[in-house]
This record gives sequence, structure tokens and C-alpha cells, in this order.
Amino acid sequence: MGKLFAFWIMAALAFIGVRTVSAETISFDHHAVTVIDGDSIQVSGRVIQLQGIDAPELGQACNNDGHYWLCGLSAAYELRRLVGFQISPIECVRMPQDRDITQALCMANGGDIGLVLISSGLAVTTADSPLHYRVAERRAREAALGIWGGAFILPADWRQDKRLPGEHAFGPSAHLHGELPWKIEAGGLTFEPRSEHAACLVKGVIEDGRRVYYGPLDHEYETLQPDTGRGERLFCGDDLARMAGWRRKGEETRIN
Amino acid sequence: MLDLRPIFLTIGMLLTILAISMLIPAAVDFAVDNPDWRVFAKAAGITLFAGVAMALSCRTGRNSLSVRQAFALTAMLWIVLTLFASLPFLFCELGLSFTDAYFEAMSGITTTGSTVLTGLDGLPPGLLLWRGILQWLGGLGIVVMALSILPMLRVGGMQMFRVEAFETEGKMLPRAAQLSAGIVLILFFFTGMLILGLWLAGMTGLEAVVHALTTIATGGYSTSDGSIGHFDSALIEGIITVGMVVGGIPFLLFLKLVRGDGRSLLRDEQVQWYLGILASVTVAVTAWLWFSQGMTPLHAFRYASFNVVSIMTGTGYASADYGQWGVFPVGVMFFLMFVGGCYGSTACGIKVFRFQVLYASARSQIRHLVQPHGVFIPTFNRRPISDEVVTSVLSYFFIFGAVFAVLSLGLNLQGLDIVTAMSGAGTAMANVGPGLGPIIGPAGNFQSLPDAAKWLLVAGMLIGRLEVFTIFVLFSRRFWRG
Repeated sequence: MGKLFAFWIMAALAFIGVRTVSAETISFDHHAVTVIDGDSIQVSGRVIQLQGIDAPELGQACNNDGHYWLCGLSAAYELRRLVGFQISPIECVRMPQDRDITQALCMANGGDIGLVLISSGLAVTTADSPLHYRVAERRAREAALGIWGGAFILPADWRQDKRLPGEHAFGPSAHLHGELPWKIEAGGLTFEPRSEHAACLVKGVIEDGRRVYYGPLDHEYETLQPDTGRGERLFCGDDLARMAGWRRKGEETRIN
Repeated sequence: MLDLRPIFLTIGMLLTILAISMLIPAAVDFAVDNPDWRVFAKAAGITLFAGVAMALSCRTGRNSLSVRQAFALTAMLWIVLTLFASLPFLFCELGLSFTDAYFEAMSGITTTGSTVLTGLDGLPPGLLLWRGILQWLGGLGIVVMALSILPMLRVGGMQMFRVEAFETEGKMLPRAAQLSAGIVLILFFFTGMLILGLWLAGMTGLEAVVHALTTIATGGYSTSDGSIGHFDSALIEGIITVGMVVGGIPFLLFLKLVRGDGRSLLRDEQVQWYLGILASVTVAVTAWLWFSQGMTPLHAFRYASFNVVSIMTGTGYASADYGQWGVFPVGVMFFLMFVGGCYGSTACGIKVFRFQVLYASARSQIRHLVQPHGVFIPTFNRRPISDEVVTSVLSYFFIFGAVFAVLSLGLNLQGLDIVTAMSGAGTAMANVGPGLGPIIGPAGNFQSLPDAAKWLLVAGMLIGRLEVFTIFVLFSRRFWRG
């Protein structure tokens, strides 16, 4: 009796384990991908977050020896470049999770995309990062690559409104909206102070009754002008937009 | 003591040309209401002022350069021109640091093509055009220099290419001016054909112009982060492949072709070797992609041909991340980047003729070992190669290798992995553009490198472009004592 009981207990545990470790593989061509930011992509109706990495937010600036640069946008452009150069299908291995966003390990022709971003110093590890990601991060830090070349705020802290001193004066929106961040006056250049929200690049608009957010890498981005009177607004990151209930265009409401 | 006045006079005149060329992107930005036109206008004003001031204050009445002055001019010209060419990058809306601005300008003017810029697809048209113009001017400059100045300096075997009509040392500048006119016309012709072809193939006007400029210059700057892969068009890749191949052929042969001498182009051994290497490596990589990577033969040929030609000519465009194709193509691309194009073209690298000289010399040596009493003279283009040329080429290979090793170790010392360090040093010295590995490979970018690494790469680009010896001569005390 005892052995039978033990057998059924082990069978039940095995069954739970199989459900826990079963993985879904999503395969797609790079043409189907829209890069949202340095650690998120959209494939058709699905938003995929690269597992184990956290890239600077789109409007985030990092400081290298007193010189600010758009590290968030750079990370997004790098991800777009990585994805765009693949002539073989990209494969993302996803673990089923009870979240509204897919977290996946994405491989391109055998290369780990998230690992490349960590190795280039354009993303940091997260609590659930595998060991080889942490090794790559240490190497990037030692080589002062990317964000490790100077001062930066961890993306998780940046989303909580922490900023580097003077970061607000370097508004990346100038780059996107055709304005110069400084005035060219006789005798020299002077910085114009930007508003606190100059770094909030994610645009939330209402389309067909749905609250949709767009990032600078979306084709429609330049033409969108959020109307605050209609409840449209800017967000300082795609995660913040999602937390406020906004979604990507064409996104499925729940991922199963 | 070296008289620097003719040097600064020449630099001043060329700065004036650079300033005028800045007005082109200024006009384009003004036409599309982009405020960056003010950036180019200011940069042009500063450059013009500096150029005119230099030229006026250094007038000597003499129209000739000594060999020592030519050495000094060659190095100082590229350093000073790059400084002023970096002004638009420094002043523009991107807020680049001086290191990044100078890196981008040096990469442009040496036709390397490594970039620290991201988000190219959204950059103002003037800035994209300026990158193209810089590479075109750099390509023109290197061809003129290769034909008129470097042979007189007897650098790395280039004395083989002394044009007999211009034997007099002091006639370097008039010869340069004479050749420039013909070379410019030929460059304009090829650039025009490329613009038309690319535009008909589906590029916008700006994309066609920029890519035509950077293709014939074998520079590789693109209007998109995705390089040529962004367009995903076999037709565009085919047109650009032809353009890159043309860019790697000696322009003097095109001049001769225009004057009715087509046989020189067909019978030139350097061109035969150049095309032969391109064809055989393309076949090898195509076969690898077909059998090992499972691509269809047509796809395999498309990607192999484009990327092989791009790397060997030093253009540096990418249509795919060949770092993911397996171990063989990565090794091939690494060694191919050093081979380069033909001498007297816009292409970079060690140059095909140097390999031919070593091959001919080694072949003679082997024959001599077999027949010790035989007389075997190495030849190039059916003319005997002198011992002086062989020694010069061997010395070049040694210095190139030594600098490559020092640069690689310098980059490695800063924490870069050995693949990034070696491919970075190689791509800079061979003026190719992309390195290998995830950081600076075809899908990567040089922005994330630390400033010290960028300055090492800047030095590598300059040393490689100026055929190594031209820079090191300046470090000799005897040179300055005369």
C-alpha cells in the first residue's frame, strides 16, 4: 500500500514537472518583427520580452566622461540591427508563464540575441539571468563597453523616475523631432534646458477605442501627436505604458 | 629644417575644397527644412576660414615638393582634413563626443566605413549625404595620391608604379593636378551610372546618391543600420557588387581605356589576380552555404558574392550576418579583409600586387633551389621585379604585421575579447569596416567601444590607408634633421 501511494505521489510530481518544463518554440522571419525597445519585440499579435536581460529605456541617456548619449535608443537600434541581418528564421523558446507578456530566449542562426546585447554593454542582467549572461556582463563591464563606459541608472530604477544629474538637459526628443538641443549663437553653443518629460518617448494614442502605444522605431511614430485632451499621453518606457494598461497595435489581449 | 609652407599651402587649398563640399549637405538640409543646415554652414565657414588663412599665409611661389615634404604632407593632410571634416558630426543634433566625431570622419575619409552612429534610418539627409561625400572624396584622394605621390616615395613596393612620363621628383603637385582631372571625370561617370542604376532598382534619390558615392569609393557607409541588407533586393545587391568590383580596379587603366587602350585593362596581371581571387573565394563560400548551411544555390551565390566582394574590396557593406554562417566563412572573411583590391583603385587592404610580388619571388626561390645554376627572375606584368621592390614589399609585410599585432594587443589589453580585438585591428588597418564577433561584426557597431579603443582604431585606419611607412617615416629623427 505504501509503495502504491509513493508511486502515485511520484507520478503526480512527474506530471507537474512535465507541465512546468514544457517549452513552446516560436519561429519567424525577421520581416515579421517590429522592435519595440532594446529588450522587446513584437511578432504579429505577440509581444516578446527577451528573457534574462533588461535594456535601458527608450528615452534613457547614459553618461560617458561628462558626455551624454542615447543609450536606450542605441540598444533598440542594435536589437533591430541584429534581427534585421538574419536570413534564417529566428527562434524564440518560451516558457509558459502566467503573465500577459511572453518571455523568451531568442536565437538567430545559433546565436543568442540577448547574450549579444549583454556582451555589447547595451543591456544588464536580471534576477533570472543564466550564469553565462552574468559572465558576459562582467566582461562587458571590465572592458567598459556601452553603458559600462560611464555612469548610468539601472533600467528598473530609471522606470521609477531616477535620473542622472543633468540628464534632463539632454533631451533625446530633439533627435527625433528635428530640433537642436542647443542654440547656435555667435561665439558658441549653449544648451537649452529640456523639460522633465523630454525623455518620455513612448507615445500612447487611442485608436478605434483601444489604447495603443508606439515607440520611435515604429513607422507611424513621427506622425503621431498625442492629444492629452483625449486621454492620450507620453510614457517614459514601454513597460510603464503596459502597466498603465496600454497595448501594442494588433496585440492579443492575453497570451496562452 | 623642413620647409612646411608648401605643405600648409596644399592643406589650405584642400580645406577650401572641403569647405565648399560642406555646402552640398547644407543645401539639401535647407531644401527639406531641416535645421541641420546651420550646422553645415557653420562648419563650412570655419573650414573655409582656416583653409584660406593657411593658403594665403604659406604662399611660397614654388610649385614643387621634395620627397620629405611629400611624406609630411601625406600624413598631415589626412589628419588635418579629418579634423575639419569632423566638425559637422561635432555640431549636429546627435551630440557626439569629439572622439566619436573624429572616428566617424576618419572612417569616412579613409573609406573604412566603421561607424559609431546608430539610427541611421532616421538621420537628417544632410548628415547621411556628408558621410557619402567624405568617402567619395577620400576615395578620390587615395587614387590621386597613389598615382602621383606614393610611387615617388617608394613606399612598400609602389615604386613599381612610377609613371615614366612623370619621373621628375619636383613635379609631384602638377602631376597630381593633371591626373585628378581625369580621375574625377571617371569617378563622376561611374557614380552617375550607379545613381541611375540604384534609383531604377528602387532606392530613393538620397539612398541612391549616398550608396553610389560610397560604393565606387569602396567605403561602405549606408543610409540604414541594416546596411544593404535593409533593402532585401538581389537587384540592388547585384548593381552594388558590380560597382564594388569596378572600385577595386586601377583607375589609370580606365583612363587608358578612355584614351583607346583597352588591352591594358584586359592584360593587367594585377586585375587578373584580383578577379580570380574574387571568383574563387565566391565559389568556395557559395559551396559552403549550399552544402553546409542548406541554402538554395541561387541564395548561396547571392549572399556569398555580395559579402565576399564587399570584404575583399574593403567596402564593408553587409547583406547578412556572415558571422553566423559557420566557421569557414568567418575564417575566409578574416583573411580576405587583408588582401584588398588593386593598387591605384579606391580599394584598401594590403593590395593584390604585393601578394603577386611575394608569389613571384617565392616561385623564383623554389626554382632556384631545384636548379641552383638557373637564372629565374620574378616578373610582374611581364616586367622584371627588382630586388629593391621585393625588399620593400617584404618590409611592408613585416611592419604591417607588427602594427597589427600591437593594435590587437592594445585592444585586447582594454578588455576586448581576442576576436573583437584582432578583427578590429584588421578591419581598421585594411580599411574594411566591419569586424567579426557580436560587438563589431556585420550586425554590430563601434559605438559601444571605449574611447581609448576608438583612438587606437583611428590610428589603425590612418596607418593602413597611408600604406604604413608614410606614417612611420615621420618618427625618424633623421627625417626632420634632413
